[in-house]
Amino acid sequence: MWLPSLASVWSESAWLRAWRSGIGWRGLVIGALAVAGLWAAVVLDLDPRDLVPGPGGLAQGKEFLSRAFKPALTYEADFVPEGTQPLPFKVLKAVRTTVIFAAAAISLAVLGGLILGSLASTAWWFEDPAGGSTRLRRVFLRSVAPVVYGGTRVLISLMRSVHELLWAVLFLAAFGLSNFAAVIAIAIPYTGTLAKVFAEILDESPREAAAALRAAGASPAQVFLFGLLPQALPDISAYAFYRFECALRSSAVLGFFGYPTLGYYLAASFENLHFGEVWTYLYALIALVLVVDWWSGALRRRFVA
Amino acid sequence: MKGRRASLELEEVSVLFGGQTRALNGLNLRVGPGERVGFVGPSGAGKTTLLRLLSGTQRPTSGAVRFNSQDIKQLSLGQLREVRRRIGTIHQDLSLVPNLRVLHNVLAGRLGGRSILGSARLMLFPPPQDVERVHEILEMVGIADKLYERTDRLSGGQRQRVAVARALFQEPSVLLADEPVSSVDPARARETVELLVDISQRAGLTLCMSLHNLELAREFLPRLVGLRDGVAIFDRPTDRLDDRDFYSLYELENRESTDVAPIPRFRVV
Repeated sequence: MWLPSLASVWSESAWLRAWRSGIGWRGLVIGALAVAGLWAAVVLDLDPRDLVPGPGGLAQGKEFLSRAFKPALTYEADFVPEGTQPLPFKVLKAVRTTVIFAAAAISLAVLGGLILGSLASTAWWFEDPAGGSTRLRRVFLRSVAPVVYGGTRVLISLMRSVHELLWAVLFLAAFGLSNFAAVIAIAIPYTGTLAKVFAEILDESPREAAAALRAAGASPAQVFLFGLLPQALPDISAYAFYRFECALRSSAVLGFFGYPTLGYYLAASFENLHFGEVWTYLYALIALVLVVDWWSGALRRRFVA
Repeated sequence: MKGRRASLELEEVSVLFGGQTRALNGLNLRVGPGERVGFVGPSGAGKTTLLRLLSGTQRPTSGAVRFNSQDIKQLSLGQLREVRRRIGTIHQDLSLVPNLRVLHNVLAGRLGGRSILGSARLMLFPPPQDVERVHEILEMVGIADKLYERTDRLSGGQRQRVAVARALFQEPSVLLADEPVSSVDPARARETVELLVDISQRAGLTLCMSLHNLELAREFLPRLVGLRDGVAIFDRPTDRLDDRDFYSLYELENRESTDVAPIPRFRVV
C-alpha cells in the first residue's frame, strides 16, 4: 500500500524540482525542436555526403560560377539569326515586362489588402464605451462584426495558403497563357499577405487620437480614416514596397511557365548552358530589386523621418 | 465664437470598472452654462473618469449624466455624436496624430456631423475659410507659425497648444481639460491654464478642468470640487475654501481611520 504512494510522491516531487530548477516551458520547447530536427533528419535519410558533386557536376558548377565575373553582353549561341535584337535590349525588355507584371499585381493586391485588412482589423470594431445603448449597435457588435471579422480572416488565410506559382498553374490550366491570369496569380496570395500584415499594423497603431476624434463626435468611419489610418500609413506603405520587391521576384519566376519575364529567358539560357547570359539576367534582377529598395527607402525617409 | 451655452449634470453617478473597482461613488454635480470648475484631488480619485463621463465617452454604471437636461443614456448614437460635437476635450496625453501636420490635426476637430466625402474634402482639400480659421486659433494659442509643421516635430508645450486649438476649432459649448499642464514646465503651465480660462470666459464656454497643481486651481478657477476615492470631499466656491480643506483632501492617515473619523461627504447639487 505504501509502495505506490511513495513512488508517486517521489516522482511528483522530482518532476516539480526539475521544473522549478529551470527546465520550464522554454527548455521544453527547445528540447522538442531538437527532437523534431533529429527525427526529420532520420526520416529524410539526410547525408552530408550527398552534397559532394560528381566530376561532371563539379566541372559544370565551376564553369557556371566562373562566369559570374564575366556576364554576357552578346549572345553566346554559335548561330544568331539575322535581325535579332542585341542582348542588352532583350534584357531590358524582359526587365520591363517583369516590372509591368509585378506592378499590375501589386496595385490590385494593395487595394484588396487595404479593404480586407481593414475588415480583419479589430480597430474597426472597437466598442464605443458610451454608445452601446442602441439595440441595433449591440446586435451589430455581438453578431455581425465577429462574422465579418472571422470570415475575412479565413478568406485571407485561404488566399495566402496557396503559393503564387500554384495559382499560376491553376490559371494556366483554366485560361491558358493569358497576361491577366499571371497578374491574378500573383495578386491573390499577395492580397492575403498584405491584408494580414495591414490588419496587424492597424491593430498595433496607437488609438488615443482615434478615441479623441470619437469624443469630438466623429463617426466610426471618420475615426478610422483620420484618427487611425494616418498613423498606420508609413508602416503600411513600407510593407507594400517590400512586397513589391517580392512581386518582382515572383513575376520573374513566372517566366518559367512561358510568360516573357526574366525567368523565361533565364531558363532558356540555362538550358542551353549559356551561363554568361544567365548571369546577365540574374544581375538585371538584382539591380531591379536594389533600385526598388533604394526608391522605397527614399520615399520612407521623406514620409517618416 | 458662438455663445451656445450648455450645462452638465451628474446625479448619483457611480462607475465600476471590471465589476468591482469603484472609480466614482454616488457623485452629484451640476455645472451651469458658462461656469468654470476645477477638479482637484490625489491620483486615482476619479478625476479622469469624471471628465470622461462629462464628455459622453463613459457610461455610468448607475445614475444619470445629463447634457442640457437630456440624459446621455437615452440618446441614440447619432444624438450622442451631436452632444459630443458640442464638447471639446483636451486629453491628458493630447491624443494627436503625430505624423500629420498641425493644420490637419486641428481640422480633425470638426469632423463631427460631416459625411465621409465632406470630411475627406475638409481634411484633404480644406476650404480657405477653414484654413483661415485654424490660423486665427493658432494665433490665439501662440503657435500661428506652426500651421504646416508636422505635429511630432513640435515641443511638448507646442503640441499641447495644438490639442487646445483642435478643441477650440470644434466650436464647442463645453471645454473639458484633463490635467492640461502635466506635460509642460511650470511657466508654461500657468500660461496654459490662464489661456483656457480666458478663452472660456470670453466665449461663455462651460469649463471643467482637472488639475494637480492646487496653486493654479485656486488662482484661476472660481469653483473647485475636491475628489477622493470617487467621492466629492468638497464642492464650493474657491474663496470659501481654506488650507484645511486641501489638507484633508490629500491627508493619508484618513484612509485607515475612516471608521473613527469619517471623511465628511458633501452632497451639493
